[in-house]
Amino acid sequence: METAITEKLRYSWLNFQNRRQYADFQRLFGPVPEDELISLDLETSSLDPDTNEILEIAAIPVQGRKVFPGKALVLRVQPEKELNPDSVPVHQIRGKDLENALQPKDALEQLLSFIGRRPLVGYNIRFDQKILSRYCQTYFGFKLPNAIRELSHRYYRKKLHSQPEHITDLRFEKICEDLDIPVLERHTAKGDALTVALAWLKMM
Amino acid sequence: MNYQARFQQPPFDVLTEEQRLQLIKAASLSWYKPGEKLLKAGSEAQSLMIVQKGVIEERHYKDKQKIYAHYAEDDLFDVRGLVDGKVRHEYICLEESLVQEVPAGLFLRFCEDNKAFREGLQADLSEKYHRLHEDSRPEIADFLLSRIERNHCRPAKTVSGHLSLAESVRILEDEHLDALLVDLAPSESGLGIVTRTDLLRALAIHQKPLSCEVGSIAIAPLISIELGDYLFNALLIMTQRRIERLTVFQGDELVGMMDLTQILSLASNHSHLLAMRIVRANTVDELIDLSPEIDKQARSLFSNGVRTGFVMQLVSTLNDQLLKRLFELHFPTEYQDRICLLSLGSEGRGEQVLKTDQDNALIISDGIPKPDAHILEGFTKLLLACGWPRCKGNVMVSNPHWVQTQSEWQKRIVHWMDNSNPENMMEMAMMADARAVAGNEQLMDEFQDNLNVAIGKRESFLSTFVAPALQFDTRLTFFGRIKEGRDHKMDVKKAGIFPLVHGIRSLSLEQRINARSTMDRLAALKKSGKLEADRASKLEEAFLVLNRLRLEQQIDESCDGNELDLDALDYRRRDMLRHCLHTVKKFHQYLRHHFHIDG
Repeated sequence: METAITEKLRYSWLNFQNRRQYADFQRLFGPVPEDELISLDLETSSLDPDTNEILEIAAIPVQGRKVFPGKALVLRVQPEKELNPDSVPVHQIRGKDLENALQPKDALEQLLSFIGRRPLVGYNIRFDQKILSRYCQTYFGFKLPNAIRELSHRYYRKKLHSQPEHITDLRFEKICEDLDIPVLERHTAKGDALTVALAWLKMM
Repeated sequence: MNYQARFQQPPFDVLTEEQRLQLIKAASLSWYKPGEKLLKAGSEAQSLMIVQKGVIEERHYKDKQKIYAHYAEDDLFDVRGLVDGKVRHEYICLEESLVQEVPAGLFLRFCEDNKAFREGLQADLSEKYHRLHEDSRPEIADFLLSRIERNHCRPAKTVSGHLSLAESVRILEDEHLDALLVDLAPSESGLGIVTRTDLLRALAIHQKPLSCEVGSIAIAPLISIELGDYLFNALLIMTQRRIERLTVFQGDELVGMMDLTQILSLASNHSHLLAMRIVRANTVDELIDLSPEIDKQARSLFSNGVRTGFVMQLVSTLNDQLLKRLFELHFPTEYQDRICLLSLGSEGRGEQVLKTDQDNALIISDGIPKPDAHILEGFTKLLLACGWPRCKGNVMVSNPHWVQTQSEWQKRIVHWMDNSNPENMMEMAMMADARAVAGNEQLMDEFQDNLNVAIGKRESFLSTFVAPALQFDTRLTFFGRIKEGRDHKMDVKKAGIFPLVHGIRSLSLEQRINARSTMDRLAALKKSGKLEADRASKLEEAFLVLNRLRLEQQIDESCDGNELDLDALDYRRRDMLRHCLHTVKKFHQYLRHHFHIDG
């Protein structure tokens, strides 16, 4: 309860400050649309959230019980450093794939105006939040204000409720397998974001 | 599973790229839980729904037992509700389902803007609701496929342009022609044409002297068509140019002439032409040459969407004629009215489209010696040459088991009924479908009477006889989905066609109905009131659709025989298949109940 109030105060303060400074981002600080979420997934150059760089962003809108994969925002982002060839197996993105990628600042601007104040849902979403906040701080001077929803937490709570004796495996693949989520798209940022959205909705 | 690939398939395949993008953009995905109602009867449909996963049931809003359809992967609904603005039935989720939705507004806008899309959907709807109303004018399709052959042409008479009008009229009269070709050399036009009407006009209206040269009134250049072109094109040219005659060429060679009346008569009688050629054949070799034509014709008729029932009928008529003529040419005359050639099984029922194994038998009058083995073996070889492969079950006239005298057949009937093992039941089923194709038909009538009498004495025997119809699984899950099997194939004969044919055969035997084809038997059962009209028409539909699905794959050679490749069926055909199997499943229950079979 207390944390909620502090959070709220913090957002209000940010809100007040930012509204003056960043007229472009007004949407980010307006009211939170009801019953709407964004399923988000990032592909990054490494697994260290303090230093890695965003290579790809996928954000898919969810409204009520529906997910709209056709309205997804998918952005390729140009890293500042050269890609480390060793990390290619992780994100499956080669330097060549990034030839027409956006500059990080432009990509972030597009993303922020796309997601507005909607809460972000994802698997290990704190990781993505941390990176996005770092980027926001660097380019715009504020942290990512969106609330987050963690897929694995909800899954854990649901399992705890229905089958408390089973200690559940919280790996992404296992969750999807257990929930019987069809793989509708390849293992890309957008594909994963869609799978997350479907898994999230299935637990509603 | 690619959820967007569905938008490339019918009915969406005719959308423009831009429309498809709009579609992808607007489409949403959501889960439905078992028991949840997707569409409520009487409500306005908000979206077109496409099943990605799971099963949705369409049922009556009051009578929950009345189920109209099941929708699974790739199926869409409720087009009718969207078009009419009101949903008629209830749509309930049976298994947890992932459903893609397209907003109604967008869908209706596509209907308005895209003619092909609208028409595709209309065709879809009418196909769903009137599946059996395929092309009702088969002779037209038949005609469209024919090519111009030499025997379609009349000989053309070419005369010199210097001939007088009087001499020209004389030639027309003497040779029973109605037009002449006129050699216009040395002018550049080459050949011209003069018809009776042209001559009359020249003489009576333009009052040309009788000595006038015919070349002066000839019409040039000739309008011609190439040998081997479609008859339909000939008709088209005539209609377009408002003429009644065409010259037919093969390269530079003049083959002859065709006129309109002739083409029109071919249009309605093309299949009859083949029949005529069979009847007129004077040697066995001619028949052997003609026999592949039947298969060819069957394939092309079928591929052109001619009604399945009609193709079956036509093919069986032609095959009968071929068999009859072979019989007449092969068996010594003294035998011909004392034996009777029978076609058994599917050929007896007249339900063959492509030639299958030989299934024939003979009934011989009591008191005459059986024909020599070499004659019988020779007949089987003849049939082989005409494209009927040897029967694996050896049901052929070369097998003495199937060549019996009247009294031997009589004994056989008793033997079947006393020893109801599967082999005997199969033999009896074959003979229950037997049809006389040549020779003395009274012998067959007598056999039929004997069979009817024997069954009359032992009604309970039929519950043993019908049993094989129930032994195969209908391949539907509890929820009404198709069981795919590991290899995504289904033996459609076992799952559907055989149970229908055999069940209906048993019911007909019980009612002593002498009709042979499944369709005729159904009609007779319906007429006698033994089968409710509703049930009969459902069975008829299922029978025809299953046959059609099998034939489609046999003809494009993705299936030889009965193994239906389920992956090759589009969603519409899967839907049809599901409906048919559902009907078969219901029929199983009916037969069990009717013949008092447990389990």
